[in-house]
Amino acid sequence: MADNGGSYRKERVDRGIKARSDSVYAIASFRDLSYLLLPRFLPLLVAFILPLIVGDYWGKVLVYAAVFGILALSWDFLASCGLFSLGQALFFGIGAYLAGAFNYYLHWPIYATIPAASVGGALLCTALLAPVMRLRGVYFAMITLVLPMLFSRLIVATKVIGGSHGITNLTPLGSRWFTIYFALLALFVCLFVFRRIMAQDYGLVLSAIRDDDRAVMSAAINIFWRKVQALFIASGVGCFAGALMCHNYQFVGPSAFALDYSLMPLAATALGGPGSFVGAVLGSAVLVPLSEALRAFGGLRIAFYCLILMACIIVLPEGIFHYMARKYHRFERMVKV
Amino acid sequence: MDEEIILKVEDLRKHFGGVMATSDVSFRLRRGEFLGLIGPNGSGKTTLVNLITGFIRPDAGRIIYKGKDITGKMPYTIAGMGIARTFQMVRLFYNLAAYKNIIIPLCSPRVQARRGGKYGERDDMAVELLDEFGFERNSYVPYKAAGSLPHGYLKRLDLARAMALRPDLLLLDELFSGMSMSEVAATLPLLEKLSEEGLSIIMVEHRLKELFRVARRVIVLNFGQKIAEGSPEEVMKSEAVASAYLGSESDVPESPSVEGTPAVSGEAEKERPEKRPMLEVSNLTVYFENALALNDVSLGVEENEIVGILGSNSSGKTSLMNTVSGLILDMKKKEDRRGGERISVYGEVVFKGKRITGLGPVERVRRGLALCRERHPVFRDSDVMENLRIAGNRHKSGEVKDSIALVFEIFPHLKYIRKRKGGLLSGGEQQMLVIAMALVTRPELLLLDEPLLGLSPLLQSNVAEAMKDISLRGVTLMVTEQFARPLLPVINRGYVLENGILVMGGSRQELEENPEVRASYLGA
Repeated sequence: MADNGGSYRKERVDRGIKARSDSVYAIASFRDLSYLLLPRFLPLLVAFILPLIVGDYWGKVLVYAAVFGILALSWDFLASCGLFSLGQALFFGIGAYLAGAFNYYLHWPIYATIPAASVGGALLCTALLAPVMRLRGVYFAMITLVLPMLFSRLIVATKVIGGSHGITNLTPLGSRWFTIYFALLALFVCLFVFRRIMAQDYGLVLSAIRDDDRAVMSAAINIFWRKVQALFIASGVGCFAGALMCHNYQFVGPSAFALDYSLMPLAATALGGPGSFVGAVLGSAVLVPLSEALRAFGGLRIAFYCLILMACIIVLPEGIFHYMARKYHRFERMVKV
Repeated sequence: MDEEIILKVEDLRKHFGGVMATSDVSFRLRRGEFLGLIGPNGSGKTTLVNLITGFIRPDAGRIIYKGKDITGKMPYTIAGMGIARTFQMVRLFYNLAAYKNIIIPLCSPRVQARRGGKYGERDDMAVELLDEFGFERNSYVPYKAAGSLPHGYLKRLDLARAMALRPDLLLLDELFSGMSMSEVAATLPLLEKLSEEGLSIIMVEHRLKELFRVARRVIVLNFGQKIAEGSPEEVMKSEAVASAYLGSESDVPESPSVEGTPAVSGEAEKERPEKRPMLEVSNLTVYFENALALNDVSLGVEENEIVGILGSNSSGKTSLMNTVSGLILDMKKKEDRRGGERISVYGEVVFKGKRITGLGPVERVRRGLALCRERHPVFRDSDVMENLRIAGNRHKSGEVKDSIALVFEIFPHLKYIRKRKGGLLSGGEQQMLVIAMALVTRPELLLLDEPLLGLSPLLQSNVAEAMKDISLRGVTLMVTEQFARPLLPVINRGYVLENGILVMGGSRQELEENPEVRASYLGA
């Protein structure tokens, strides 16, 4: 290629169309446009066509993956302002129990229970965690880790809201199609909104708190109030995932506070690539179907699952999304000099 | 008349684990006044700034700002009331573009209440503000990631970030440290202008000549206590200040401290039996993406020499040190992984007759080549002794004990503070510790990247003396520095680096006599 007498040189496609700032593009051709849009819309398209192809069983897995995706997004949002949570199960469980209780005891329809559980759950979770907001790093993580355990024990021991049996016969979400597309839509709306928030100045401040909270304090910004706001948003989203799941199962029990719901979003985000939100969704889209596919191994399922997870994290420590993005940005084209 | 007083500090006291960082300091600041705060490293200047801005709570005493007691308030509350600060070690968001760093204060309720500013609008406000501080609007500079900007720009970015709050009181913590003479010259009028516009300023500084151009009143701290206060002239005449701060010979920064040095270095020259090459660098060229950091640099260091590399900010000193120490290979790997800047390195590095161009930094340390990076961090939660042990971890414990004993001979002060946590050390103590840590790795060639940055005049000469001491113990040194004054007396040979090119090299005398060196690095 160098034989061309130097009249051509290689150029990275993204360097060619990026104009000085990250968010401004100079698009010169249809190919530039497709370079930008394809990675954004192709996965969306696949996600929305997939339910039409797969069977009943994998359709359910898809809903499951979407709910975990939402939970993982909530985790990633908290992490992006420096709050490392080990207790997504707290959000999930509180959302599920609130929606279940509203539905079972008050006979509210699902279009009332889900929003009420999301907002009410967010308020409750924020009130619970706001006092420990000043704790950093591992201390915050520890508190979030024990809170869901506390709740599940409390419910079992005091036998309230169904005790250890939980409450059953909740209103189902709707038809199979409605369930799948509602979950997918919620996931992508959530993804889009989170990415949007982080691209705004508001998100800039949140990520600055993660990087150096003292510098943010010296800029006259109340970092604790900002963190509480972020916690409210993230826990609301987590509670929404729980509410969705309890209507999907038509059941809610102490298992809603299970450790799975805390660890799975974390594993999914680590696998997919933290800090980008897309990574969280991608990770869930890999992990949840994987754990279903491994059911054939019976008792060894979890062992295999762990091995695969470990292998992935060792091979791709930065996460699937960051790896793919890096490779994609490296696409080069020949340009005339 | 009380309206005139903007800040009143009363009997402020703070101690850290038995060390009195601030003891019963009181002073008043009038509105629009420019107050200088000087004192040796570790005298509690930064602590005082941290106390006023709420980053540290005092043990006793009161701070009254505009008639309100702000003692013990949160830093963001205090900042919101109009007290802005810069940091000694700039705290910026290095992966964000420079102008994005300014957006954070623009998002604060204080600024919002005054001028609003919607999304997008703030970008313009930030770029406009940066333009005033020398980040030209139409250049690429405001849009570059802060981490890739040279040190002088970072300092001004920190200042711009503080000013974005439109404060009434500004605290500057060693703003000029690490700035080149031309950068300081560009920043001084800005400060003068701000002061004339009615901003009250407290400035912690070691560069007295520059400070005295703007400060009308000076407070001198030593061991946390106020030892003098008054106009610059009065303070400089004071006995206590001279002995605590400027060194007993009271060499005011204007006079170069050459005395006593030729004898020792002459001795060293005599002692050197034969000139064996320690390091040979040939045709070193380093690109960061398309920017040339080093351009065809060739130089040699002989055994047991002290070689100085003079150069202003962004002249390529740090790139040279990173390339010689192999750190750049690590940086290159990391940048490649995240698809960032493409770093290309060409040329040869030969150490003790062996080619080491492709070796990583760890292997180079193993062969006896150690680097103290500019502003190298210490382990904050480990004490001085532990820090030294960590540095010597690959040697046998007996050897480490010997090395540490040797290091304590060179820096007796370190022995005295050996149980103190790294995070509680003052800037000067950290610098000594970092050099000591490099020495514990038992190097044959020690690279020091701006070891005198941010040190008081007294400490500067102490560290320079220590360099001579180290050299006498058989270690070869290569030292970079922006200012020739403290360094020139101790080096055998020197080079001048400008824009990545070695423009001249020669013996100490040759450099001292060169008119251009005198003009740009001695400030003569």
